[in-house]
Amino acid sequence: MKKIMIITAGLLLMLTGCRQESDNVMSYAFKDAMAFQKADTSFVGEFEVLWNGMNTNYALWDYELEHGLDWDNVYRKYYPKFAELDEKDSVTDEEFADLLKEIVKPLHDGHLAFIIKNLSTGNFITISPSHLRAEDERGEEKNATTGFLPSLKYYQDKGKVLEMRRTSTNVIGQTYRIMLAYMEEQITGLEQKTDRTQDEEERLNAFQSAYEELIQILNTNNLNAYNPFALRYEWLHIPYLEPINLNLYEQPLDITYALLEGNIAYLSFNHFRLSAYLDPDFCKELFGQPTGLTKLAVESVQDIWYSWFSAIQELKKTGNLGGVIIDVRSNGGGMLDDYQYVLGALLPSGGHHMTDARFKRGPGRFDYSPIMPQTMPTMKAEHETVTEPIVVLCNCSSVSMAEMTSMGAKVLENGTLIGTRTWGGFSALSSSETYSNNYAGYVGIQNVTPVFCYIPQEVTFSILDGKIVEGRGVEPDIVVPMDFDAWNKGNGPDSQLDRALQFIRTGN
Amino acid sequence: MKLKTILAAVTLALLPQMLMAQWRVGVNAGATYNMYSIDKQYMTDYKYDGVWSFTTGVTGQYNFKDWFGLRAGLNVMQRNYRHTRSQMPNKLDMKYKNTYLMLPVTANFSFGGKTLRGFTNLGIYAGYWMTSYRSGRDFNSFGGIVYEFSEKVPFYSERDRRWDFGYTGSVGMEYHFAKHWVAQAEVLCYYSAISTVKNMEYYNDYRYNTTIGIQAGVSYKF
Repeated sequence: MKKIMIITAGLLLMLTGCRQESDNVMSYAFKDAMAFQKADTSFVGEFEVLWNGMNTNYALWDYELEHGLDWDNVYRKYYPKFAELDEKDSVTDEEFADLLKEIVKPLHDGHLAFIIKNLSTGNFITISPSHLRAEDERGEEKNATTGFLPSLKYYQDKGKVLEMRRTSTNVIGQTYRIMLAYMEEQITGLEQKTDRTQDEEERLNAFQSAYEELIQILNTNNLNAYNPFALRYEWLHIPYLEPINLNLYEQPLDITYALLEGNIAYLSFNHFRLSAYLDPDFCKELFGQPTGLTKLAVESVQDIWYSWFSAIQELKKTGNLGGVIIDVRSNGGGMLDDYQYVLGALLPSGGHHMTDARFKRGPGRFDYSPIMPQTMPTMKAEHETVTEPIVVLCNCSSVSMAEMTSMGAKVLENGTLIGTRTWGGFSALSSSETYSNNYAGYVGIQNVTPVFCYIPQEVTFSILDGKIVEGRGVEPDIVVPMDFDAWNKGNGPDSQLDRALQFIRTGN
Repeated sequence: MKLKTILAAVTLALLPQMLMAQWRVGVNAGATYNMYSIDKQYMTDYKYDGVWSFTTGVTGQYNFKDWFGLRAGLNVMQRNYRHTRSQMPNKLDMKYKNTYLMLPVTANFSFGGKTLRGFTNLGIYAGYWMTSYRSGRDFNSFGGIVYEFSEKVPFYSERDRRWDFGYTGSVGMEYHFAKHWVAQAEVLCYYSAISTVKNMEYYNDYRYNTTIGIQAGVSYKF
């Protein structure tokens, strides 16, 4: 019996001993003391969080491998370099940024961003691999298209715009000149008076202070100071000076609708933030019962989108619609739900399958979900489906949802994509609340933990060729570079818009 | 030269036993229940359940004594499992079907009468992971769509260790129902000692299969 027990114990020991234990995996979703403790005090600790966080959460390791990136080699090569930083008396921000750039530059995700603290200076360094790639590959176009806002002025001057409406939710930007001019006028008037009453003296001082403060707010873009400022000087009755809902400034929207010659309905906007204004529940959640300038801004966005949509519907019903142009050039992306108000407003209800998506499904580098259809929402309410040509205009600064819309046009039978190759950032991110759904998302908390990584939780595939589009973007059907010299800040012709108009009018 | 001498000596030593020995070959089939073990770390809602499947194959046995022999087999075995998550009920449910080619080599010890005997096998096995499929449903959180799928799972050379090695054992009964024929029934276990995931340089995530099963077979004694 004793022998049997010894043999059994020996066998059990042999069997259980032959299996190894996995290394610990940390969750970096929150400011967990254990996860970030070492990173708070050492560069090596920061490197470990960066490396492990990416190793666990990043959804494109198979793609990076295809492109020759060996993440283990990154550890081998850069761990000693971070250890060297710990030995130094001081590390400059430039030096630290250069080292970080070397590490993250090969990564292909177009949304990926790192904000990492230089422990020597206390400054946070922001690095975006896609910006580095764009600067390398197409720096000139990136610079030219950053902040580019399409203009129809030239076409208006030529009488080719039948109808046009434009607004911006940047109400301060729209009104500050008027406010400053009014204050200047009041100050000059009061200063010229030699026998100012006490009340006039107070008003002069107040206008002078208000003028300085407004300039200060504009220069520092300190929006949080705007509403207290507006309340403080309300008694001066400065035109348009009133508290505003700061949700207008969450990706301030600049939107234009125009009906161009040939009944071509044109829509351009700089961010996908339409749902905030067009979805009644979301709008109520953000703006409550808006008043004053906020109400004006909200209603004008709704009005402009509706003008575009109803023009298409009416022209379609009467058989007079020439085509549709959706201009997402230099559009920085935004909300997925917006699809139903843009391309999805022209398509049948029930959704538009235009890409596939694959999610992260575990901490292993290659723990992936199946490749699942990514169906974007289309308009639910009854509406006319557009069968006329739809052109989407894009450029190198069309990012994320602007690229989804670009891809949508490529997939559509009556869709055509014109312009230049898009940014290459499709993979959408969600907040840390869904971190544990897909085992991806933020690593750390921005500007709180020493390491913060903005990591998309999925990867997008083109349904046209089945390949990952991250880092390469959407190639237009018709490649047309923008002639910025000729465009001359809107005073001249827009080469890409001209090509779109030609295509719609001639089919070629 | 030295090796040849040793081999010759061993052969000579075993020759009398080999002359007395008995060959048998057979076929078997049965049901397997595989359990996949993974260190779940902070993914506390992960659930890996065992799944029943099948095994089938051929065996050859060489008996040195009436109570001792060597047995080798070549089996096709499914080592399946099911992955669900309590945090995503009805949204994530993946059934993995992994087919292995297994080559167990065991020492066979038998006991009992001439017609009805008990036996046990203890040994090692080598396996090769031939195919992997999965089916079920997963959740696209962006579209809010539960997606039903059935697909071949690609092998990643960086991740998947397709060769498997481990320990195997079984206990069973055999019935010598004719001069040359034996029927066997046994319960078995394959315990992998090798992770299905390859070692990485700076982070290791080990995952193992343990397969139990019941099988029956017939053998022909020469």
